[in-house]
Amino acid sequence: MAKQNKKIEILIDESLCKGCDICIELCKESVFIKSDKINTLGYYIPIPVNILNCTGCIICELICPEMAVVLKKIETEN
Amino acid sequence: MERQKYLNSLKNQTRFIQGDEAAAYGALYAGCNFFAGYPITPASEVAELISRELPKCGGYYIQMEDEIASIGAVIGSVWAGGKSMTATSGPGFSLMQENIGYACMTETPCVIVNVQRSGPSTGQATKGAQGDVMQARWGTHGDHEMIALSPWSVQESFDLIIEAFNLSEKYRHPVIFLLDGEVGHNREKLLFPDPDSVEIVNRNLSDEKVDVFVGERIPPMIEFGSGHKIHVTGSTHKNNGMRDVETMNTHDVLIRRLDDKISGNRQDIVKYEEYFTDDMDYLAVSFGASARPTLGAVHKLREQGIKIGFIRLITIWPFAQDVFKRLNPNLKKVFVPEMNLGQISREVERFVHCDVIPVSKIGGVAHSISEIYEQIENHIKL
Amino acid sequence: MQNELLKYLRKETLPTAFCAGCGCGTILNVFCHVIDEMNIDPNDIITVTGIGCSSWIPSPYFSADTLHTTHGRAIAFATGVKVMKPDKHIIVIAGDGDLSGIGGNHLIHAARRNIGLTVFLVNNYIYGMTGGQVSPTTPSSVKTATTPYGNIETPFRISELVSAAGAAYVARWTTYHIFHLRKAMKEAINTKGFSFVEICSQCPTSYGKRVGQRDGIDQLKDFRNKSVNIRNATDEQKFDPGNAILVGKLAERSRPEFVDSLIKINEQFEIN
Repeated sequence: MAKQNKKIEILIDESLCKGCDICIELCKESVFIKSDKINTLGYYIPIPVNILNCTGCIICELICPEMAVVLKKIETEN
Repeated sequence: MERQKYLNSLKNQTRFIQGDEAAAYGALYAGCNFFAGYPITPASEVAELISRELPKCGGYYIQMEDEIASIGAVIGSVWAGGKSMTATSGPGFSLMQENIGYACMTETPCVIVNVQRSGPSTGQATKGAQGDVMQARWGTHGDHEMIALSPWSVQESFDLIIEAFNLSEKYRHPVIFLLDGEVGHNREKLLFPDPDSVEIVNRNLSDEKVDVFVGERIPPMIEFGSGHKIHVTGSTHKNNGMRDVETMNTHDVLIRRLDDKISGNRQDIVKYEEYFTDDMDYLAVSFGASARPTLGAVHKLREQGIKIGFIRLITIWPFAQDVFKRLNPNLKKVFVPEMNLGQISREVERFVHCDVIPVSKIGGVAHSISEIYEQIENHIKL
Repeated sequence: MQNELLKYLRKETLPTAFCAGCGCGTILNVFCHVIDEMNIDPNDIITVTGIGCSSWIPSPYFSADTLHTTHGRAIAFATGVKVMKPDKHIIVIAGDGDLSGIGGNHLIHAARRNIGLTVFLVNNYIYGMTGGQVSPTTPSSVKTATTPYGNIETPFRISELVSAAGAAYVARWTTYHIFHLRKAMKEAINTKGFSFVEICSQCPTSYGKRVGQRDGIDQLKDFRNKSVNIRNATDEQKFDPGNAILVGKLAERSRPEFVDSLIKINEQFEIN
């Protein structure tokens, strides 16, 4: 489950995503789903609907072939 | 520092050495600081002397695994600040063609020495020839220009290679130095000049962040490590160096500029010598090793009252077409002694109105004066 | 909202020409992370590249001095660059066909010389850019554009070859093993001599579809399933891995670097 002292944001750069689904498939916590939103390149982009499950492993950020996924870890007070 | 001291130690000395070695010394005078090569007869002596002497001038010699790697390393070194050269003969020159085209396309200054030997293929490895003239011009694919120079003596092998470096730097273009096995392996006297008296031209480097390949004929060069993150590619590219193969106009503009850079500067690049051309009914044209017996034959013919002139080509490419175009239209015949089956004669033919007769000799032995004399005399009597 | 690491790219060239799911994009991504985490100034990098899809990783995408050379010859050109700029990071990125096919000779000699280049060989098992012809690393019996009856050849084991040639650092990873890959790339860049990382990379368009792996994700899962860490491999697997991909560090050795030795020759003539 999510860590309590860090909030994680996942940003998808819609202008770069080519809908390859690698982030969706390889995320161990099933954070992403393939949305029905089409970007300007014509691809269905992923959305991190289950962001609370994210462990911050950054597999998605490192593996994305378009550098379209960025994780931001924000310290929160608890 | 080291180079200055080294060159000063040679100043005013005379040596009895081969053309290959003279060319190597000339490169040191010209400021060459990188040589990558591969052994091949009759060019190995260039590499051997360079490997010994270039480190004394602070430069680097590498023996690469083949000729393709040699010219590749030369080009890479130039973009990293090197003034670079390689030396080979026919089979190696054939291997280098792709990368020579890369040097044309990327406007990389470098000197490629080709000590010509009998071909095609392995041919007569140890015998001189002049059969690579057309290859020097058209060996690499695509529309391109070329600069090629051919010395006829050991002293000229030294003097002219400095000019080769100067032209390559000035025009940002590869220059082929067409030696041959005759001049390359002949031993003659070389007089080393005062290094301060030798004119050295270096590439025009740009300090500012400008588009490297701007619309001018010869853009200034930006080297690696300048902080400008430049992009160098053999693909068709825009003025800023970035690849653009889709737009027809980009290719048209680029290739025409590269060609015009050389062909449009013929006046500056082309060098030749004239003898007895003020009053001539006949003309002999030659270059490199063949030019020597040709001059001897011309003298002998003149002694017999035959009004023959002689043009010795020093620049082989671009071809000295302007010289031939302005020749007396009443010229009766042109003779071209060369150690091939007629490569320069073909070029002469394009620009004169009379018969052009190749005086060819192949088989690895240079013409004798009497051979040329007799062939010309026989043709004149016809 | 943009990825900060895009500052390492020539942004005007984005989005990349890479196919959706292409491993080249992942390699570019990991490379940007590596440069950022190592605090390397891109002005201290010179990338040298050949012809093929993976050669596009530096040309045009990664923003640094870039030398895009002829097919197979990147390492030869890079040798000249390194001699004249020994203090820069000279990084060669090109494919299996480029570096081990036409360029094989330059690869093994550079390893033998131990010249301080870092080579990332992107192995997608095929000549991808030209449409999927057999390459020196294509597995046996695969039907490619030029082996319609099945590949009758056996593929190179490139990392083993480069290791035998004398490289100072050799590792093999895949685009699935991004954390190991990131670490290996850092180790390679930090190596003084010739460093080499073979990166097995997915090519859905020209290779994957020929072996029933139509998406990038299919090939990535295949990499995961087939990989065996070299530390855990049996002697038999090391001798003949068969279908397995042996991943890990294959060589790490220290011996004089080529340009250092070249410079030493000149030192005896230096005027003090």
